[in-house]
Amino acid sequence: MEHHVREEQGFHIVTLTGEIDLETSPQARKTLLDTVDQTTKVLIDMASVTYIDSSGIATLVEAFQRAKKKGAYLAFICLNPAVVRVLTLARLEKVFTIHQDLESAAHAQR
Amino acid sequence: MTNHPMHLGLILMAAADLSELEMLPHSFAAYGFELILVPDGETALTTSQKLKPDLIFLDITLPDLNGFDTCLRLKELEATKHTPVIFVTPPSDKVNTVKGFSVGAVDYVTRPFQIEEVIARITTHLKIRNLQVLLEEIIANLQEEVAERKRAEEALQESMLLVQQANDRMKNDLAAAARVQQALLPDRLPSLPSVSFAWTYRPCSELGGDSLNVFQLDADHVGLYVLDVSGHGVSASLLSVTLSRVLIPRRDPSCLFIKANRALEADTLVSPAEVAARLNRMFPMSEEGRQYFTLIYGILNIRNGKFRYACAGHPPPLYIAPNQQVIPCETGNVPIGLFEDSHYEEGMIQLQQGGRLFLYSDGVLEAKDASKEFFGEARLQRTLEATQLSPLQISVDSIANAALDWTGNHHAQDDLSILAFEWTSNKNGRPSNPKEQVVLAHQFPARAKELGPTRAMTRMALNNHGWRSDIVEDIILAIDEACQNIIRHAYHGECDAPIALHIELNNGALVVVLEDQAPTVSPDCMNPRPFEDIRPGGLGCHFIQQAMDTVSIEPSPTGQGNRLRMVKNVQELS
Repeated sequence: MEHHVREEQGFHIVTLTGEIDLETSPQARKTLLDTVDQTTKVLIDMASVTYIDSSGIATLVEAFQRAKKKGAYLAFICLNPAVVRVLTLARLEKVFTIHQDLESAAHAQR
Repeated sequence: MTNHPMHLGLILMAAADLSELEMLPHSFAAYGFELILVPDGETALTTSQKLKPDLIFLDITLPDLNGFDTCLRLKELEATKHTPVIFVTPPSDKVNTVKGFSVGAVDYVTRPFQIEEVIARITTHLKIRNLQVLLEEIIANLQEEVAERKRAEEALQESMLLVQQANDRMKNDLAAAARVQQALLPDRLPSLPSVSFAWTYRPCSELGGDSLNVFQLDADHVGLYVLDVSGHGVSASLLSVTLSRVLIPRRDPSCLFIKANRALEADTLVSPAEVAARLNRMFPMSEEGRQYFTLIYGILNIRNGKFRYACAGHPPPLYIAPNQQVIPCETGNVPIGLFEDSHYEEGMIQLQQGGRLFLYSDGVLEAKDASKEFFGEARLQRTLEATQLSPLQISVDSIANAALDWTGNHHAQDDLSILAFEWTSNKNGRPSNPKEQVVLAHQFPARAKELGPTRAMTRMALNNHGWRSDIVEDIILAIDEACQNIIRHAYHGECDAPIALHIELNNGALVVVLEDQAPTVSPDCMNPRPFEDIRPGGLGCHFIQQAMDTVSIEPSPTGQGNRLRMVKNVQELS
């Protein structure tokens, strides 16, 4: 599993992939927090996340809170049903900023 | 001049010219002092060792040893080292006066003697000496007291250590006893076509005295009991363990439940009332132990659904027929062991198709909330009615959870046991070959890297049944979170100790059991934290509670570790 970061339309886009669980969430956490610390407009692309558990959710919450604290923008794009279900169980779907894709995120920022 | 009426002290005086001092003892005697005159230093030394005078006068010039040397010797000797010495000097002999102080003298007087002055000096120095002695005594006493206190403190520390050790030993013993007790709980329930069973046992924080079991007596009959030894602690647990050993059906004449009938060349079953009476004879309450127990023992005929039982001081069994309200069954006999010649009456229930019977200990009824109000029969019956369409295990777990929720802190003051069965006739009964019911059995080390493969395996096993995939995913999440909790909180980190996952279908319920071999954990760990507290552990518990119908932790029946049981009604899966 690999997470990568690219720049597009003024955003730093972190693409998370695969299963984010107890074993893999530390790696996702590092990528996310590094990006949030170094940039100000972050999108997290969740399209390739096939599974996420509470440790993965805790990682997303930590990144979200850190961005909020430093006044950076952080939003999620391309959520699949598996991810939506867990975010809903965690009641975070109204807390996080979520866009359908990069285009709609860019549009919302204009 | 008359002699003083009191003897105020013995004074020794060494002087070279004794002839000049002949009258001095008389003068001293008038003030209450006895004066002994000696002619030289050596005599002063020997006499003072013998008589131990209260005060010594030394002339500076003595024929043998001079006064200073005599004084130094006196200060070296045990008997006189604290005796005040006063030098007798010629008038204005400053040099010798100073030297006298340096060798240990306390004062000096000059010749010729002014008797009043000499007596005044004697009185002063004896007073000082007495005060010094008193002070030394006080100091010695204080030192003794300090030493005494130190010894007492050391002794206290030592005994505290012993108490601590005894306490640790007792804790270990109690934990071992609890394991023994839990090992006697039913490991495997009888698998029969016309009846299904469910049970739960939630021990209180102390050692408790509940026990329960279900066993097949012959082809047509099943025996069931729940018992509750009075009180808790070691003695209650000991009796309860002994009883669990006695209450096992065996093929021997000592068996309580079955007796060989030679005439019929077959075994006959001992009636529940007779079992109670036999136990009453076997376990009379001892004077010192003051221990008795309540019991419900019954025999179910699995062909016709008749349940005969004897209830000895135990809460009444609750019967619920499909779509009916709960009916408490009759009870009324005295507990076992209280009276030598107790007679036990029997009750009988004819179960309807799908009828359920619940046996339970009073720990369920007597779970107390903060204001000491009991959970009580009404709430128990409501919970039972509310879950009557759920699978039996869900109903049993719901009752235990509701009673524990009622306490507010999930700490049962008493053991809480429930044993239930549901009867369906042979014809309509679901076949229940346990092998066909197992959905997945998988054991793996408590490591994070095992979780991915375990999820994949579980997904494969559950997707075989054509269930809704979103609900299957919820269940997989719940299992995953439960495994994480075992790794983090039961084992306190990754290790090679095992986690055993067992999933089975049991009479309409998907039952997920996760067992570990870690030290016993508190059931509190399954309570989700407030939602704002978004740590993975609390969130994980929230996911589990959302995904499953009932969740309960109980001690593993193997005697070591924890057993987490999560149940989902299969109807919700399609």
